[in-house]
Amino acid sequence: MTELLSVDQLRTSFFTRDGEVQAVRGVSFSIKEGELIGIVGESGSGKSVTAKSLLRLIPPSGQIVGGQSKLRGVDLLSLPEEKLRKVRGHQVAMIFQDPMTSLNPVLTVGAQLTEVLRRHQKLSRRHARQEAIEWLRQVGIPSPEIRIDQYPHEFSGGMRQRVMIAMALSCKPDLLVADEPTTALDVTIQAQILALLTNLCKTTGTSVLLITHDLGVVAQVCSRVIVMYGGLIMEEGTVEDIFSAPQHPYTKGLLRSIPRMREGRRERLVPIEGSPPNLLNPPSGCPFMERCPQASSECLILPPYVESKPGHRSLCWLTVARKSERQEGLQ
Amino acid sequence: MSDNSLLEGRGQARTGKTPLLEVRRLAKHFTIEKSLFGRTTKVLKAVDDVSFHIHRGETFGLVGESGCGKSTTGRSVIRLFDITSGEICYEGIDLAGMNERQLKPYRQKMQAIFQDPYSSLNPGMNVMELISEPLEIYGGYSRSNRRDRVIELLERVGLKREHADRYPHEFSGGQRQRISIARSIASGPEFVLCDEPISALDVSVQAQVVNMLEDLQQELGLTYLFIAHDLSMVRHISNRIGVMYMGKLVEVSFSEELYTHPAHPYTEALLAAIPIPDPKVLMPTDRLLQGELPSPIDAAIGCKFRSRCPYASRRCGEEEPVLKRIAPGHYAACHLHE
Repeated sequence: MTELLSVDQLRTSFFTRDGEVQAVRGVSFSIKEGELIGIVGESGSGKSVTAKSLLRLIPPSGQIVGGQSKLRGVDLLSLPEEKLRKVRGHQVAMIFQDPMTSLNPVLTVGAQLTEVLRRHQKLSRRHARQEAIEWLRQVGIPSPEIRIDQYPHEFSGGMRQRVMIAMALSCKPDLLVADEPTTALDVTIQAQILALLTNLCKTTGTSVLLITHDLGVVAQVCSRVIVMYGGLIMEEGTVEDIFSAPQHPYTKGLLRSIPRMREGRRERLVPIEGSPPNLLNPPSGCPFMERCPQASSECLILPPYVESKPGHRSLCWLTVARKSERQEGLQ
Repeated sequence: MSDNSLLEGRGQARTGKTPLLEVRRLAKHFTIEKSLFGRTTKVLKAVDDVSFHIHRGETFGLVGESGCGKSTTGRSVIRLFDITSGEICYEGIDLAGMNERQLKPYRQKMQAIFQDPYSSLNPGMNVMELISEPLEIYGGYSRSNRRDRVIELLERVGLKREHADRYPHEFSGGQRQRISIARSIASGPEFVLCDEPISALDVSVQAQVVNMLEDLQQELGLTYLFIAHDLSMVRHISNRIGVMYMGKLVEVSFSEELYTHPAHPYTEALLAAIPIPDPKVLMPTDRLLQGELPSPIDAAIGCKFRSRCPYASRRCGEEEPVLKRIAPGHYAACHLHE
């Protein structure tokens, strides 16, 4: 698989009255064509800001301070605004958590869907309408010929998210950035939406960057996972790596703190004590240090990324130590 | 009908005596539309004929999709509003028809924790005032005793003495929920309604709060009605669970039994939709529920779930199934189990 997007040392900050909040502090990763990759993290981990920075969609108080985000070799972060607008919606599409606020309440669903098609695909009005109906059908909206002339408020939350998916995928983008697309929905609807999203992206060959706080969703949908904390990537690997052989104490803690579905036993949950760091004055060392049961004085300095196996990297001195032990063992 | 004497429990914390709380044929209807002359023309049956009981020291979980009536049920139980019909018996005494003065002693015994610790704490009050308010209302403490009691409560929920003079906005979501918990146990309650207490919290903090709720239950002998949409957390914390669909209780059973042997097709579909945090255990996509909730306003005859049910037959459209015992302590409202 060839590389579609490569993000290098992305840094985004928000400038508030109290000072600079460093939301994303040097994030690098890449997405291959047709890949489904997930970013998990808690609120304030920088996952959502990372996603929004890719398309320069952060609010005015925020600023991308550094880094690159190359889509097929073109850096989106330095692209002029009008060229970027062609990329948005056409090559890279985005869906958000709350479909009510991302749909225009005074336009019909059809008007919003055809706008995308006419703008990016240069379709005629009639042709665009037919295409829009077809898309509504594809995302599972019953009687799309009638629904197309209705307004967003006439749709339920799940249906609105389906409309958003139709709109996002109608231009067959290379990359779909989905920011907590199912968080506001019930589990039964979430399951439908996730199944729909993955099936459609597989048929269109669209890569997906899924932002979520739900480890279950990542395990079910993605092939690769990035774990973020305190504006940094703590660990990255395949879902199998992350769920069966987590390396970072934060990932391990996160997995332990969710109830396991094991029969007949009510085990006590193992929480991560404390709360996430303040990014107004982020620690210069490991951001997880304060809450980490295995922290030592070494952690005052940020460790380098070390691969415990190809494609599975983590940001922890323990991984560094384990790696050098292994290498010594080999010699 | 769901004869409540049948809904007996077993296992831990059962004394064989009357349950702490017994809800019989609870209904709560909201008027949506009135005619010109004030006659109700459209009614939303948020809770419709729901019966269950909770034993002392037990945690009873209520699950279901948004709009199924689980929160309305919880709020009816602690009498946050007047109910349409039914009985809410607390230690055998019916609270349903009581006025506010008659309810006061029960308000002390029945407390609540809500989902959003941002809006459930008055931003203009500091922690000391927030937690001492129930102590003032229910009495029994002198001014200086109150301060000691607040500090004791703060330390009990893992906060510090110096937090007492701070305001809610100075705390994180998890800490705010701790303040809510301290406030709810201040009056020395026996029963606590936990209405989505962890939904707004971060994953790593949820476990802290759940563990604390479990510890407090052990220590103070509390009884919980735990409402949440996170099915795996509800399974973890509850002894028994009730599943609601469109205002009706469709299944009641012990946690393990419910999750391993769901009897109602809705429960089965709900469980199949939980994304399991293990890439090796894939979701059974063939059992996913199709369609969405029908409008709760148009009251249909027959089983409310039939529009989404893969097993629906003609009978389901003609006759509404009632909650029936299908195994010891296990009840389901479905024609399949007859």
